[in-house]
Amino acid sequence: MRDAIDPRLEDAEGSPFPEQTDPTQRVEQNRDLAFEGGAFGLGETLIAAPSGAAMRTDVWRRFRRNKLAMLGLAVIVLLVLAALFAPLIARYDPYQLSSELRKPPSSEHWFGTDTVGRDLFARLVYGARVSLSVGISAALIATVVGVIMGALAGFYGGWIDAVIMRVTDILLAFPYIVLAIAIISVIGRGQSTVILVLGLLGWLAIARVLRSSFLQIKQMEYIEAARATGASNMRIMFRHMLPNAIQPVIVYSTLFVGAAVLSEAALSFLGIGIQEPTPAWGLMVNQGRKFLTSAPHLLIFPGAAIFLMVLAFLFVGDGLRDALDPKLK
Amino acid sequence: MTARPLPKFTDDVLLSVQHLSTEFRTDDGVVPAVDDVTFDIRRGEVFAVVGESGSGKSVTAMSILGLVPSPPGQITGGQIMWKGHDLVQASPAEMRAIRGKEIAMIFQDPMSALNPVHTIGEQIGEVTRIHEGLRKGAARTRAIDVLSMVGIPQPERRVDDYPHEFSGGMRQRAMIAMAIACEPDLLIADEPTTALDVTVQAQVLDVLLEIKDRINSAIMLITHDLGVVAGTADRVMVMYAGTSVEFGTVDELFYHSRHPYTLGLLASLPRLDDDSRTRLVPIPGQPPSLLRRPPGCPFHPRCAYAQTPSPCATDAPVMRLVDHLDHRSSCHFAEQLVARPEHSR
Amino acid sequence: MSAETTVGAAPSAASGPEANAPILRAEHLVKEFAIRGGSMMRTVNKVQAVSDVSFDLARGETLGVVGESGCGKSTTGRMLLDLLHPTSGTVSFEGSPIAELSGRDLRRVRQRLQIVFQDPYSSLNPRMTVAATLSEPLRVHGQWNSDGPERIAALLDLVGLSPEHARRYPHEFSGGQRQRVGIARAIALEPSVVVLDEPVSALDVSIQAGIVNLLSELQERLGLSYVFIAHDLSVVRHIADRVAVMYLGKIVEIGSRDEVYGSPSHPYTQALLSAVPVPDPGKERTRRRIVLEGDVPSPIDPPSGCRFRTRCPKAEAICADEEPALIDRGTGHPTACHFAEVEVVL
Repeated sequence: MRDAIDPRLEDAEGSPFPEQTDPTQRVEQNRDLAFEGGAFGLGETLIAAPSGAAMRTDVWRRFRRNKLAMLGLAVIVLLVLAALFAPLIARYDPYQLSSELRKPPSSEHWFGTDTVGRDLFARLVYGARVSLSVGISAALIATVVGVIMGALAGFYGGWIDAVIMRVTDILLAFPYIVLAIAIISVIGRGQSTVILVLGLLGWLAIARVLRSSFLQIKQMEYIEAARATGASNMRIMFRHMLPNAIQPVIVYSTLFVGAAVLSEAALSFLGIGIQEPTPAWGLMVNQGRKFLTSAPHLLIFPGAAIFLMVLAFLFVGDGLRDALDPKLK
Repeated sequence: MTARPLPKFTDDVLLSVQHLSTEFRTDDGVVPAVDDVTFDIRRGEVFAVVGESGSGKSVTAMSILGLVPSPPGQITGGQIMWKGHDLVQASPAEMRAIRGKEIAMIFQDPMSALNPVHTIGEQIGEVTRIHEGLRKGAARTRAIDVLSMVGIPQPERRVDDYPHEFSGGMRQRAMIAMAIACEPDLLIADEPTTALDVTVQAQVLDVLLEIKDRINSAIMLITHDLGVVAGTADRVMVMYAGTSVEFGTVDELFYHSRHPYTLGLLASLPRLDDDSRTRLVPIPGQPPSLLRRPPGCPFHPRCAYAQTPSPCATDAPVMRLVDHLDHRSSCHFAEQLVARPEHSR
Repeated sequence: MSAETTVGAAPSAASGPEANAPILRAEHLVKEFAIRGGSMMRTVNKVQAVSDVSFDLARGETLGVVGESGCGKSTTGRMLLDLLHPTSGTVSFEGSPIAELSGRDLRRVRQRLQIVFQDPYSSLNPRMTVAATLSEPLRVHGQWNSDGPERIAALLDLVGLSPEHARRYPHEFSGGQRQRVGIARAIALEPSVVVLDEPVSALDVSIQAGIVNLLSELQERLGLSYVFIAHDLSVVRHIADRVAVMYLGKIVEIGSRDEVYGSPSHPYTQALLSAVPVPDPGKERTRRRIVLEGDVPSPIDPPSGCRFRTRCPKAEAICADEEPALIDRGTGHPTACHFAEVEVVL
């Protein structure tokens, strides 16, 4: 009979029907996987949701074993260092024009020069700052807004959930480039605009991810237990649900940095992102494409840089996901 | 309203498992899920494998059918003799031919064991098509036949229903029907009634016993429920922490057990027919993690009879004959063990 | 056709001094759930999970509530604590209806009514240490002060764990130990009534006995009253003073433990008792077994009249027309069957 009940069974307050979530089945299945013993060699410890202390060391251990993820991490660290220590690394000022136009790589200019004689290497290194700051800032905005929206939708359900979900549906239906162009033409161009646009488009997916996490956790008995001890909604949301629900968001946000970098490159390429003379990889690709045959280094280096950075974040994000969820071994 | 029949004992050995060992390699080390287990199953009998979580009973069944997930798991020793062939050495193609046709498995959770996008008839038919090459019409007829054998009303209508259109007990019956479609010689039932209500459980167990007689097969019943064992099994093997600790007929085990774990289990059960309110006698401690099995006898840290100095903590006990025809126990003190008063009711 | 059932506690059952005033009373509890469907989650249909359930709980006694899946026992348990608001009906604690309380009075009552959940693997927040989990009820109710850690140590000791376990996380414990933590959490606020929703069902058999013993011990030491919800009739026989048998949202039989187990008068109770296997091969072979037809019907569309009639061996025309009231029909305890008759099945 328990199977005759539609899974979306809840009362007026959105509390689920307790009879149908029969954990015995779940527990029985999980117990056959009693292979990962806890730190104290105790009984039927199973592959449950990782908890505080053990989680961090376990996760790191699993992450370390993933070679691609470690490679990605190394690349990111390198890029961050390059961005931070740009003045020390680059021999030239990225804004300095010269008469050496479109020169190929040499001992003077390691990556050559661009159309107005600026050192390409310097522009790449300083451009890393732009890409990283755009990517990370956009990811931060998207995460904060997305978490709040997702938490409200997932926790309260009902009309709040319906409204937020319809909004995300509608916004997601638009091609983001069109939205980006629309917003930028109203607000004006520049780095902060790009960050804002990317962040405000990125929260949609994060909200969905967090919402589904919340919906899952809402069914857990420890949430009911917290309610039974009299905890307020706020306390339940922040102390109980969020710490457990945040994992997929961490993964997604990491992946999002890579996506944001790519998007920034695309916007700059289209001319509505970062503006000259700021060094930005997308802009450099835009310049470079006209000289594909005559001065390919103008296209190859910034293109490779974008490719490397995005790939690095993707690997790290994938590695994080595998490390966080032991069942995916 | 029939009483259960007396246990039957035949000599027709179908399956003979000798010193089976299965291991899993995990990040935390090697887990000896099944360690040197020996038993046999004869035609027509219900052979119960009893144990709690981590005892290795499910992995034993998976090993027989070659269903142990192979990157982490592996059969590391022993033989599984089925009709003269060693299944451990069998090729994947040979195993595929045996699965479903000669040995079939019934799982605990019918909802996840049945494919929701195919009708019951299609899923039953698939088994017959694979093993007997039946064509669609004949497969469907066979499906209707087995559905009626397991007691599903209006089988000619229900054969075209999807799993979610069946209730829990009916789904389990459908799974049994799928398993017997090719009249296998051995049915392995892994906790077939654990997820069912008790009134439905009684029905499903009846169906299993009836089917077993009709197609003259044997049943390997894996469960943790001693009541179910008492009501359906002919012979029983008790497993603990990956090893078998006791082996015998159902009466020998329940009335004349020679192993502290079995005795402890029996003493800790609240009885439905017990109207006194004497305190239950739990087994202290908890089942060990298979990664860190205690040395010597795996049960000794919890054992009321373990003595020091003694071999309990150092030497792994050997399974040996202690009684009668085939009652075996692996306790160092099995011969001296006579059920104490608090263990018999 | 209302089930008028103010079932008083059997005088012999309560161990406390005031055997007369029930500490908890449920009256005509009803709980409906909506089935939502469609993109805007409209209500498509309604299910009555609990239909008119009433009973008393005396001080110091254990009331067992048994039944199979979907009978509404878990829902009833949650309504007793107001974790779920009843669609109609009242729950009264020490005489005062809980729904009418507010503010401080409500909080005070909330402290006195606690619950232990079924699944030890999901009833503890995996990211909180045992100490944090146990201190939360105290913090929430403003009872956390400098002697807090001592109280936690005392709680752990009460449930058979050691104080140093407080620093650990749930995943470091076995199922039985986690359940002990859950019990410690429930008694942290010194409640009077504890609702236990299948407290041992998810545990290994050899561990269950220890937890059942612990619960009995705690009941004696702390003077607790229990509502023990379970589907395992053997365990309930062991710990309950009185038993209520539920089917599809209704109580079909209620009485003292010995009455319900020893002389059941409702066909469902009889079938239930005969279906439970007993770990005794000789007995199993000779026992009389009543095997019911079919599965439990869906609560979305329950049978008219007596809900059990579709599976009942005694069903007749009147059963479809008239719902039997839960009253004493000459068997000594209330039963909801037109043809109630005592039959010893054990």
